[in-house]
Amino acid sequence: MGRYRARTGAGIASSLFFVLVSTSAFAQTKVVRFLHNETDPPSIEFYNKAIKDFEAANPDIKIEMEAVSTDGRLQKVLASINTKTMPEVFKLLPEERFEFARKGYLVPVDDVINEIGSSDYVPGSLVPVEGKTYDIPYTLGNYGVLWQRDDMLKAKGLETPKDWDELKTAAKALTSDGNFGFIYPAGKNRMASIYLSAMIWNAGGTYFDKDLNVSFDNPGTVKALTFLKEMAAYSPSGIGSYSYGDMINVYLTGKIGLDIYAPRLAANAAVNTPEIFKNTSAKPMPAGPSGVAVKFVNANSFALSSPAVGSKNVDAARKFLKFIVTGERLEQFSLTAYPHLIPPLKGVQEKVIKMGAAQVLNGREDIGRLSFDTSNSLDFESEAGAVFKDGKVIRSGVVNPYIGSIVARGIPAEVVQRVVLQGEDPAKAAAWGQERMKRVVDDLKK
Amino acid sequence: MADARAAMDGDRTLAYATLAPSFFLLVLLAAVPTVTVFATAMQDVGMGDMSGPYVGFENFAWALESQAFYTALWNTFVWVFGSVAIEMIFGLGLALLLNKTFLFRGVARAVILAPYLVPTVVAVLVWRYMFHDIVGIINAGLITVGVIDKPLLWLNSQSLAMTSVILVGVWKFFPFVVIALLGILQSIPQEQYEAAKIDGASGFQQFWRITLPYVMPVFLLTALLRTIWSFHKFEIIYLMTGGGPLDATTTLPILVYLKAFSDFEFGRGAAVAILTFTILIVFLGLYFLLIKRAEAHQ
Repeated sequence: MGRYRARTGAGIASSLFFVLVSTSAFAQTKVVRFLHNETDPPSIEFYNKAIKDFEAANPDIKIEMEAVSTDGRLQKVLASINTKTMPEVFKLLPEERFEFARKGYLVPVDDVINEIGSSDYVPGSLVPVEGKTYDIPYTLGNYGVLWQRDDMLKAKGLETPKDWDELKTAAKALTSDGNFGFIYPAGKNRMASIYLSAMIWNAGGTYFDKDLNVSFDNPGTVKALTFLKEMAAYSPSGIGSYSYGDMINVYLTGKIGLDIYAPRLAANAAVNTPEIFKNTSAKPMPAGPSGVAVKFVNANSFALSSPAVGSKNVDAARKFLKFIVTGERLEQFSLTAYPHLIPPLKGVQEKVIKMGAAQVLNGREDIGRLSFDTSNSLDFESEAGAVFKDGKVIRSGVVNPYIGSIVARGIPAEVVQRVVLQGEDPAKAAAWGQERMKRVVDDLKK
Repeated sequence: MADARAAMDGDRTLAYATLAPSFFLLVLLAAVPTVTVFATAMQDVGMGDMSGPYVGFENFAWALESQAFYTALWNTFVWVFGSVAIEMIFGLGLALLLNKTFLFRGVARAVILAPYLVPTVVAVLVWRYMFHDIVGIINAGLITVGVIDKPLLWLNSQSLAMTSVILVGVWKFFPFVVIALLGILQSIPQEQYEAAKIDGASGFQQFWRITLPYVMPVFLLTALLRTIWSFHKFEIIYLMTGGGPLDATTTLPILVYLKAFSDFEFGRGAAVAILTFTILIVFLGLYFLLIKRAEAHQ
């Protein structure tokens, strides 16, 4: 009996010891949760390796990564905010920045940016809210590259189009024998909104003036919509449901002559359809009636959530954030889909162009250079009151906190659908868009 | 007598005690979310907020006055009754066929189940490709055999999108109908058919007088169950069309989602959800009525 008691006592004591040791070890390890939507297998592979390296260098920090789909990200973020379980580091979209910062969901990251060197960031990629910066870009997306099929243009005796008139002429000439001269997205999705925005800017219009009044119903918008309506005749009939993927997949069928899209097209063509890639050139986007070829370039960023929404280890998260958006990680991540993922740090770009051209694009550096050229660009937040003059975009410097809500509601995409699918008069569709946008903005301004 | 009462009280206490965990679980899983949605519907809740200013029945009033709600309601009825009607007719036909004796009947029965087993996301992605105007096999096939001369816009024509979605819905869920009806078909006593044959009944008469009356209670129950499930079906439509083109395939569940996660009007989204729930309750009432009648019939 005595031996039994002694054995039981020893058992309990060792269990207690084990619990205490493991609890204290757990207490010493800071867990940083990391939510993003880069679900491409090479990106996941990259993050797994980067996390392993970070944890090896910081044994007191454990990173828990969660990769969600682009469509599911917002629901995840909103649910986490509501239950105060926000991951410490998360992918933030521009349309959420202002609202989240104002509500105290984010922690400023100016100190991290200063450590990295704010002057090395591509102009316009850092967007402050009321004097503080809340997110750090890890890649830029450029949707303004003209991809052309050299062989198809040559067969028709055509040159690279430089403006909308030439683009229309070339698209018309290329539309024959089951081929299409052009392609654009007109689905009920964000890509259609992005596309329309670039077209509006090319035609000299903006969604907002510099005083943040809705100015969507302007001649530029009507010109852009009229242009898209005309170009539908030279595009596949299914554009009404096209989104990001179709802009590449349909081009890779070999039936498309001209495609204004992001450089992921080249990355995919190089791997999947080498013959089409060989006959594809990257050219500057044709200029619109404003005389400027305005590109849509947006930053993809990570932000730190605040303790108010459940962040537990802000300092450890800050350390991880700096690690993941700088140095070799930035280069390696950019190379996971070269030349699509543009590093926002100027100091890294040249190295990535050279490495990417050698590794992915059969030495064709020109494609990387054009893809990485983010000059004359705007995005949703910077477009308010922009002026298009002497072949250049002049930003007003006003950061627009309202446009995100308009884009998230899919209003621009719906305007495109009204014109392209329903055949509505562009001026009428622009007026409809203006009215809906104004209602949203008036509500937000209350 | 007193002993018996004490024993009964003890039994009752034990019954309540054993029921309590299930009751609390039920409250946790069903009542709490329902009450939360109702509370949200009475507030003006924006992006990232847990709650907002109390607005009474304003969100319900908005829904009942909004064209978007009635368009979604109409689309929901088209989707539900379109898909359920085809599923039931097609399902019954196939169940009758699979009830016959033929070579590889077992294999055929297993193959029929395949669509039901494929994950919805996978099925939808494959169908989206099949419907594609340029790379889709359906348009290519129809053009090759000369049925059409240019691609049909299966998913982006306002007149065709709902038909396409219904088609995929039918493909995905008709196996459930087949299995449900096959079960009851197999339980019909063969003597009845033999007697009918002796009396000179034709094949159609046998179907009309024997098969259909036997099958009818299960047929109606299955139809009602499919109606309820289809009514709140979300993922298949959302993944196929996102509710578009424009609002051509926006059903009530899609409207709830768009209001909440696209317009960030959680209060209005919740109000539409409550109204959808109310309509579903009517169907649930019908379902229980039918169950009762089926039990009485048996």
